[in-house]
Amino acid sequence: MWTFAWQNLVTRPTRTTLAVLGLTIPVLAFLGLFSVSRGIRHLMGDTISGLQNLMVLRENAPVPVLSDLPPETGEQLRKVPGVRVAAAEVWKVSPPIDGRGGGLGAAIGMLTKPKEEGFRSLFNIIAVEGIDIAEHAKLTRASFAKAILPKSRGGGRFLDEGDVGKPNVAISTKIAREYPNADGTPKKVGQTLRLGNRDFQIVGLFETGSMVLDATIVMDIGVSRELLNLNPAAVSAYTVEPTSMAEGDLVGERIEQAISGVRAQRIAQFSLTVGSVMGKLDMFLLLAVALAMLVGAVGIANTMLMSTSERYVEFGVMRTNGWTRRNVLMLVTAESALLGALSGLLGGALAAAAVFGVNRFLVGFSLDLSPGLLAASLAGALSIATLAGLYPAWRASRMTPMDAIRHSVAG
Amino acid sequence: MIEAVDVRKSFQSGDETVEALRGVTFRVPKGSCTFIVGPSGSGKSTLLYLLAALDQPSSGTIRVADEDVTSMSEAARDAYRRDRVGFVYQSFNLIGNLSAVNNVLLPYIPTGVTPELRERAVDLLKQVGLGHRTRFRPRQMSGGEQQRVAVARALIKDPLVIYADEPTGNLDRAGGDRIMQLLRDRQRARQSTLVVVTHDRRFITPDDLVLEIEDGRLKEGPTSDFAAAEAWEEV
Repeated sequence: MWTFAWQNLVTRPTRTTLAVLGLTIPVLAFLGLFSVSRGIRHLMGDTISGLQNLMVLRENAPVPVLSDLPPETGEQLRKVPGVRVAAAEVWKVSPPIDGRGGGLGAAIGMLTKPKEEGFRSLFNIIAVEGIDIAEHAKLTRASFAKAILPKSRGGGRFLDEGDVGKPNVAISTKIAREYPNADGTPKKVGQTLRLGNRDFQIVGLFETGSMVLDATIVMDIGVSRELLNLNPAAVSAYTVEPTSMAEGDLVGERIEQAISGVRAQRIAQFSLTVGSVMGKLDMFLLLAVALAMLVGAVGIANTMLMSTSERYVEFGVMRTNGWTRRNVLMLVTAESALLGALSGLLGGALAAAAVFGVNRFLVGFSLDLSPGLLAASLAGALSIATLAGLYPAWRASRMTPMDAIRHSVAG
Repeated sequence: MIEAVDVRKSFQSGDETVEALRGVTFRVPKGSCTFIVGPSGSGKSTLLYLLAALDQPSSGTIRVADEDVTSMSEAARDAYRRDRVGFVYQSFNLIGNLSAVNNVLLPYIPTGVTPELRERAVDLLKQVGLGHRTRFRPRQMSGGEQQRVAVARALIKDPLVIYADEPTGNLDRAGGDRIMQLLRDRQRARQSTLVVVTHDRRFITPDDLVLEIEDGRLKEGPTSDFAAAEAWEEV
């Protein structure tokens, strides 16, 4: 039966191809959109898992680079019950690195460079983080210090009190690759990186796995203020480590109550917010894809209706030869199911190829096309095509042997 | 073998009721060769469709091998057509997407084609002179060859009765002769019953039964009387 159904499809190649493409496009859209969505989830998850402490920002500042806090905030924070460490930080977009790129350069590059290169620029906005080294050394859950590569991989060390006031930086391996030496080799520990008009010595290389954190150059807070022409007391944010992580939410609430004009970003809450936003995004994507799938299903139904209308004589001949209505129903349903399977397989293959290709150009972020997503798209295409073929199959099954004779005579 | 009693069939054509068969009664013995003849529109094809359980009469009964085909359920009629009846159309009606051998195997595709069945289909095609065309599609064959495939399709079930509706109507004289000879040979070899609707009386021999229909009734006359009397006597 399946072989017969397959033959019925391959002997009408144009119609079959168009019907398959009609459902392949929504399958491709489903896989493409959800691989982006899953990629974002992973990216955010990596970033969140890298930021275990609380971050205190100016109220309404969405990100640290847009935040500034008054100098007395540090002392106020340390008085809040449950706060173990409050480490000051300066966050700003980096000046040009080795004469190119940096923060502003990357943003301009996104608009002015060729499409492919400009797209990469989006992920190349580099931030400078100036840290209060002494206070940061007290953090037990510091993100960057733990992400320094082992010495065997040339990781060097994280900033320590000996780096206070010195133009020393810790950078990510991503930045080391993106801003290589003149001979194209990645920057190494001991080499220099030029930020604006000033040379900095690389003392450590880290790799957090997060696109956001790996786009950061870490240095002493005083040096960063000089580099960025900031007030000597300027602070963008504080990393706050509670005495107990279990009390993180409670400490965050206390900080917001005790100090006006600040926001304590609790990671758990942030995670929930991201999850909620992504959930809504997924729902929206699902609706959009469902609409496209519906169009594809109508295409399959139309194709199968045309196909069955042309084959009334055939169905009648089958009935004359003892085929039951159920047999005819099964044949047409098998044909539409095969169309669905072909669409699912083609859509999956194209999506896998596209994701593989796109991921080669993305840095720090990757589209995530899981086997589960592929299986879901195949199952969806199969189900939709089968359902769409039911009405044409039912119509075909109503044909009687006499219909074959009448159509045969009419034909 | 085949017994038809007061079989009537009417159709609705617009506001008009057309009586295609107006009470036909006859018997056809097992293993006979019967020709249904008559002018166009006389109801001979309609009668054949009723005998083959392709259609239902408006009234009357038809019994084939002691089974009342007019009161069968749809499932029973499907099984009857699949297992006991071979039907040959005038216009061949092969499935264009299937090879000759798969067209012969059409009745068994839903239930599964065993190697034995496939071997039998190939053997049948050899018997009808198409052993070299088993993988050909209908469009790659002549009309005569297609009709021979259709005959093989009717024979694969080893049917009790072979019904043929103008089987030579779309063929030239030589092709028509070959098909009729084929049907007669198979009928004799298997002792099955052959019922043929035809306009062409040259195929009828004195040993055959003839049911001559005119205006929906069996025609009174020497030929039909002779045939009917023979039929009644043999039964």
